[in-house]
Order: sequence, then structure tokens, then C-alpha cells
Amino acid sequence: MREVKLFVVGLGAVGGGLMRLLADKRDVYKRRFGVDVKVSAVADSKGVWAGDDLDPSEVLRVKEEKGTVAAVGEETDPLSAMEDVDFDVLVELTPTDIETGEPGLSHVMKAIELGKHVVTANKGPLAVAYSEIMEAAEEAGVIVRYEATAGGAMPVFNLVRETLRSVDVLSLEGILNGTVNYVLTRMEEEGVTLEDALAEARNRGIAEADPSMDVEGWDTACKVVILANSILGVECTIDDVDVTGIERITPEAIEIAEERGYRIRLIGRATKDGDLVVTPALVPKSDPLSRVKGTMNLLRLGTDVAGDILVSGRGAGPLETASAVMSDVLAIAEGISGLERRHPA
Amino acid sequence: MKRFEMEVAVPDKPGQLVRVLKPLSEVGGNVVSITHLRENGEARVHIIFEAEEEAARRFVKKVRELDGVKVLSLGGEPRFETDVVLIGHIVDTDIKDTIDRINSVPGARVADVDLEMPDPEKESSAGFTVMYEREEALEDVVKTVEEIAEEKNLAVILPLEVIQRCGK
Repeated sequence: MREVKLFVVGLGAVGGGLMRLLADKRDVYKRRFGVDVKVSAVADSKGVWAGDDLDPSEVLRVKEEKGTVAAVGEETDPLSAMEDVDFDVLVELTPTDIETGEPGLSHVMKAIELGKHVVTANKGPLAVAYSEIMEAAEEAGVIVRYEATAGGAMPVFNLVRETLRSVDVLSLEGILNGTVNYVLTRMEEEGVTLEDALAEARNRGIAEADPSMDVEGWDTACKVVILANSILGVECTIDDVDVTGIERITPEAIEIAEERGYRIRLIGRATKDGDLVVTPALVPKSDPLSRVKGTMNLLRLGTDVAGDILVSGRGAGPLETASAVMSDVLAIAEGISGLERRHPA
Repeated sequence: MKRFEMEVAVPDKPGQLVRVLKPLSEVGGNVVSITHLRENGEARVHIIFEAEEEAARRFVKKVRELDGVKVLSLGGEPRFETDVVLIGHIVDTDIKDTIDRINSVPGARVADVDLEMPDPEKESSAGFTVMYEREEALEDVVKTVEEIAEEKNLAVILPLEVIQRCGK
């Protein structure tokens, strides 16, 4: 049986989701793919717990009861721990920082330097340094996968890479932030203000305590950057995106749009020519994008020979996002025979 | 009823003329004359028709939505049209000036405005319908609206189709 050993950095919602997924489905993956996914180390902001084959349920229990895995592991930094732990794939799940990409960027670069593959759900490193990461990975002969960074469980990157081999994608546009779409949908259905819709989203655990990244459009912009680099081959960073959020949308504007046959949606859009924009738009009611409600995401790919292709799915949620992370891990494990050979001596 | 003329390019395939004319009967308009010229796999259709102004607008809009059909020119009253939603202190920043400046774009005019002011303290919202004669005028309309918005600190929300066509 082939083994793939994970070093998981970040035990927040997605990290926790990944542990739950592994606890539930490790045996299924063994049977289905002949791959045994082992956890060799987990890290949170306080420390690292390494072991030969950590039990994901036990990791969850420690994290919940003690607040940190440092309680059973060591108070150390993942950067130094990575040098000592035997692992195949770094799973980077720390929070997104769109200014510096840190701490994720350092974790990713360190893993690449050590000859390890990387799977990440963290948008920060890719939004600020996509080209650098991919160049380093190519040079080191390792794979970097990031399906979870745009659209959570909605398959996008792997769909284009694996399934749409014969086409060129010329443009992409969509609804890429579930929190914002939930807020707009509630404003439209209930006629409430942005503040009230946001408060409701917060109460329901949909919006974060500080939702400014979502509301101001930066989260969508990160996704646009990663999509544009990966799918359109447009080399860009977050600084290249023209970003307008939904801060100023009023219930009256939504009503006026409605009367004229539109719904207001926050659209992220990129073209092969390098036009990169995040903006609220009047979307005709006949357009599927206008029918996306609540926290769902939808992406429309404009292709050269296959017309438009639409994908939709859950853009967030611990298990949903973890499922995309795990698909990347399995793809790496499946696609590579003799993982060990790629490790430096 | 008023009389209008329109020139469209359609693929040179059977059934195309019917596709273009069907929406005219749907809006209650009448054909006065049609000329049909085929060249290079494309057919140019010149139509003179009669309709009420509102019906003519709806007809042109429907034709523009047909796949593979391009409206080349329009004479008479009907125009291309687009919607724009603005949010901000629209009245305090001189709504008449906003309208005049959009009207100063050659071939463009504001046909309709809905204004919603929930409370004098709060930002108001307005929907504008802008009609324009030539397809290319759209870019000038968008540029003008964005300049005004920048100057008066208004938020602009454009139709997705306009964003696709003009960039942002």
C-alpha cells in the first residue's frame, strides 16, 4: 500500500475539517485508491505535534481540550519542525494574509526547498507570489495544488487541468464569496440594510467577526488572482485587480435593480487580456449568476471551442473545503509513483 | 405609430429573417419594407418598420439579444439602451448636472430616472436608463458616468454585459 504522510499546518476550521474527514474516510481512500493517508505532524500557532501516525480524532480532542497541540507536542515553529519530520506533503491551512502572504508563504517555500509537495487552502501565498511559488516548485520537481483556494468544494482548477484539456479558457467570471452573496440575497429577500444582513450572517456563523475582507471584495480578488494565474496564464498579483466591494449597496439600489430586471451580485472577473476586476454588477435575471442564492458559489468559464462552462458548489465550510484539500492530496499520492525518490538525500 | 429603420447583420442561413421579424410582431409593430443583401456568408437586412416608441425600443432590445445577430445601425427614434445604478448623495451633488453631463455625450440621453431617498441623512440610490444611437457610444457613456461618480463620490453599478464589453 502506498503511503502519503502529511504535515498539516493550521488547525482552524479547515484543519479541523480535514482531521474529521480523515477520521471518517481514511479506510475508504485506502480501499478506493490503495493510498494510506497518514498524519505525521500537525501544527497550530503555538506548536507542533509530530508522530509516526497521529490519530486524527486524537488531534481533534487535544486541540479542543487543551487549545493547542503544543500541549502534547513541542512549542516550536513549523519551519524548523519541517526539517526534522519525515513527511511527503505539506498541507498549509493557516489564515490568509493578503498583504504579505505570511505565515503561509514561508511554510510553502520551506516545504518546496525541502523537496516536499504542497497542498494549500490558504489564498495569501498564491495571491501575492503565485509565479515565485510555481517557479520554485518546478525547479524542485514538486507539485503545488490549491483546489480549495477558490470556491471551496467547487471543482475549478482540477476541472480545467484534468477534464478540459482540449480547450483554452479565455475568460472567467463568477460569484466567489459566499458571505457576500448571502448578504446580498438577504437584502434582496428581506429589504434589510447591509449592516442588518451582515449581523444576521455573523449570528449564523457565515460571516467572520471582521467581515471586511469579504465585504470590501478582497477575498474575491484573491480568488480572481489565483484563477487568472492558474487558468488564464495571466501573471498577476492582488495589486493588479480593480476592486470594489459591496459596502455601499443599499436596499433601495437592490429594489431599483429588481424593477429593471436585474439582481446585484459581486462579480469577480478575469480575461486572458489581463482585465482583472471585482465589482458589484447588475446581473440580468435570465443569467444563471443572478440565480445563485445564499452561500453558493458559481463560476462561468468562457472557452474558445466549448462555449461557456458553469460550475457551482459550496464555497466554504470546514468539511467542504477539507474535501477539496483531500482531493489534492489524493491526486498527488496517486499521480506520483515513488514519492520518496523526489526527496533530497 | 412612428416610422423607424434598422440595419442588421445575420448569418446567411435559412430562417434568420424570421428570427429577426418575429419580435416585431410580438411587440405589435408592422413591417413597411425589407431589403436583404447576401455576401460572404452574412446577410444584411435593412428594415423599415412602424411601431410605438416603447414597442420599438423593446423590439430593438429583443433583436440585440438574438444569437449571431448584430444591429449595425438604427434610424429614427429607437436607441440602444443601458441601465446604470448610482448610490450616494445624488440630489445634493446636483442630479440635474449629472443628467446634463450624460446627455452631453454625443448621441446619448437619459431616458428615465428612478430616485429613492430613504432618509435625507443617508445615501440615496438611483436607476438611470441611458439611450444612445451608436453602439460605440456606450464606452463614452460609461466613461462619463465614471468621471461624474468619481467627482461626486457616487458608487456606480453597471450591467454585467457592459462590464464585459467595456472592461471596468
